[in-house]
Amino acid sequence: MKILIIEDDPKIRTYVGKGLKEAGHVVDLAEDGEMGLHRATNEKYDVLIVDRMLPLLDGLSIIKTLRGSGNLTGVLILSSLGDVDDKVTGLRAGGDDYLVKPFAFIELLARVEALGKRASSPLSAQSTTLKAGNLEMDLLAHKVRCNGKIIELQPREFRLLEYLVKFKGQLVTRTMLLEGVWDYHFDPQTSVIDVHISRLRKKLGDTGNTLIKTVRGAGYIIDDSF
Amino acid sequence: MTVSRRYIESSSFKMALLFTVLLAVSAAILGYFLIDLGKRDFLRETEAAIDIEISMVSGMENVGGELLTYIQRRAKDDQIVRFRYEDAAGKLLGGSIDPMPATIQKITEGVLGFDLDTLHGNQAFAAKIHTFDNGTRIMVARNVHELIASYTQLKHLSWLIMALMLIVVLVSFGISHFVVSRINRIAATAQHIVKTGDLSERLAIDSRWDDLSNLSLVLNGFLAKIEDLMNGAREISNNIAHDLRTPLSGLRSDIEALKNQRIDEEHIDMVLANIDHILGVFHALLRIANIEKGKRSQQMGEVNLSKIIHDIAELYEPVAEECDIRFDIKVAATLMIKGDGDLLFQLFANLVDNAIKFSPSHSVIVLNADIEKNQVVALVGDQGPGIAEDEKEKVFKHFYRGDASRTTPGNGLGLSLVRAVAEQHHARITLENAAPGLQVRVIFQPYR
Repeated sequence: MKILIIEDDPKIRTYVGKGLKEAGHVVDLAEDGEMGLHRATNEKYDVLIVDRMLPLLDGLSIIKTLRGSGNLTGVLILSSLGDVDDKVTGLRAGGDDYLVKPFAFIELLARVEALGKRASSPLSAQSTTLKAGNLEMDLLAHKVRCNGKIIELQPREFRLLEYLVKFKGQLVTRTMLLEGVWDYHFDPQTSVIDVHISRLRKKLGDTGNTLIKTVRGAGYIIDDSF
Repeated sequence: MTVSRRYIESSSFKMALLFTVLLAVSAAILGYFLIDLGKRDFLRETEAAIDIEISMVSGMENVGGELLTYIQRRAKDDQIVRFRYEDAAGKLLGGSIDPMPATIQKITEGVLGFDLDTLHGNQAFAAKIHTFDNGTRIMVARNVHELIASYTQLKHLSWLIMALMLIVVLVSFGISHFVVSRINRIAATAQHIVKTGDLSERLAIDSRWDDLSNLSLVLNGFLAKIEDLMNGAREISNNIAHDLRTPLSGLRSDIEALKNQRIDEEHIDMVLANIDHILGVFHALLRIANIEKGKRSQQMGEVNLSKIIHDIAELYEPVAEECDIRFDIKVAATLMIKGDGDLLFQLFANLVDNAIKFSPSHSVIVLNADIEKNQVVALVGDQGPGIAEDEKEKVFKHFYRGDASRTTPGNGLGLSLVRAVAEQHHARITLENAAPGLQVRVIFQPYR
């Protein structure tokens, strides 16, 4: 993927840039708002990573300008403003995802890749069935088939699985699941997500954690290789 | 010196002074009235009546018999008038004044005053004497007892009024002095508090009947609240320092240990987990502060509490199941309240999370929500150890961790957040020991 990072903090800029390059992406850097907007309008990127507070032109203005001119590139907003309201304003301005500083790089990577995936499979091309290995999901009938066997899932478990399968082969972090599957913004005190995943595994007969794999300290991944 | 100057400059003193001036003017007017309208003016009417009487009798001088009959007739008709007709030698010729009164005082020029016996005892009379050409004299007297009595009454009344005015002046000065000295005392205490920064000081209250004691009481309450908040803030910063020092020093030693070691992933994960814990505490503190500031109050909308509680149960059901805990849910179909869905979800998530933490295995957690007495009441009940009476208030404080929770994971901010959210929703939280277990009740404002 081709990614543009618009971030004024040199430490974060180089660190994120380096990490994304190591993950196999092409990375461009911009250190202020005007330069970032210039690059984003003149070149085609898969994902933009935009800091909210930037010199010359703030992040939200960049996004609004891009969206105004019909540019629909996936945008991840980076910000130290972490309140729910701040997130809402960020997403309303046209951001696709919002990540609060300080963040774990693995979280950023997972979100950037999810954004890239969303961009590469436009809405019209989305099918009503999802597949991952031996797993088949019928999104219309809300049916799940694993190794040819129909599996009964609760609505929330279905959404959880749907989210994981949609981003198969990619890391999905716990916070991504919380934000994507539950309708509330909240901080779980204990690892409720882990318990839901292990119950889902049990129902899918995934005894060896081979279907839904745990990435230590980060999240889960559904392997698409088999 | 400054005290008396401050007293003189005070508004109370000025008011007392104004009162005094006004009362002094009134007293002066009253005094002038008394002096000017003296006895003389008072008896002018009487004198005029006597003069008429004299002019009547003076026309009859030569007819002695006629005068005497007139005198007798007049005296019979009018009890107020009395006469004495005497010859030049002072011998009584007619009339009822006999003998001449022993003490005669001169009221004004030509008017005499004396006492005479009447049916009602000794009463005052005013009289004038007319001497006829033949040397005989007639004294015409009128009873002025009533007049003098009312005059004296008026005089006494005036003195009484003046005395009362004096008392009012004294009292108003007394009150103003009392008020000013109390205000000065309050000001001095306040100044002392400002100077020393010692918020534990209180205003002295020596009585309970006046407004100033009431004011002192209110101010003391105010001071107590400020002291409480200050202590709270101090406690929080102390707790932050203490609560973060432990993980930070752990972090430090972990990093230090890495110096001499081959860096392995497990170590890095441990360090990261430490940092995440510290960041989590900061995040939770900021969140509570934002809720307490009411930053999110514009997010308030109509939410269905029943749905929130069902969603909570759904979220925590697998967690509870792992500990062999069952939810017993009794929730009315729809319970609309005015609130912030995300925050209410967080509130019940924290309560249910706590309930699971403290429940023994194979127990039941009760989740109820219904309308009680026109209010929406939600209840989270567990069968855990409960909370001791003296800890019920403390558990809501930042970083407070009861003995039972020292070993459980958490940052001591869960219930602080619960309280912040409840307060933002004007909801009340009560903790009841159900023996066994704890019942947390969240009582919402009736929704209209």
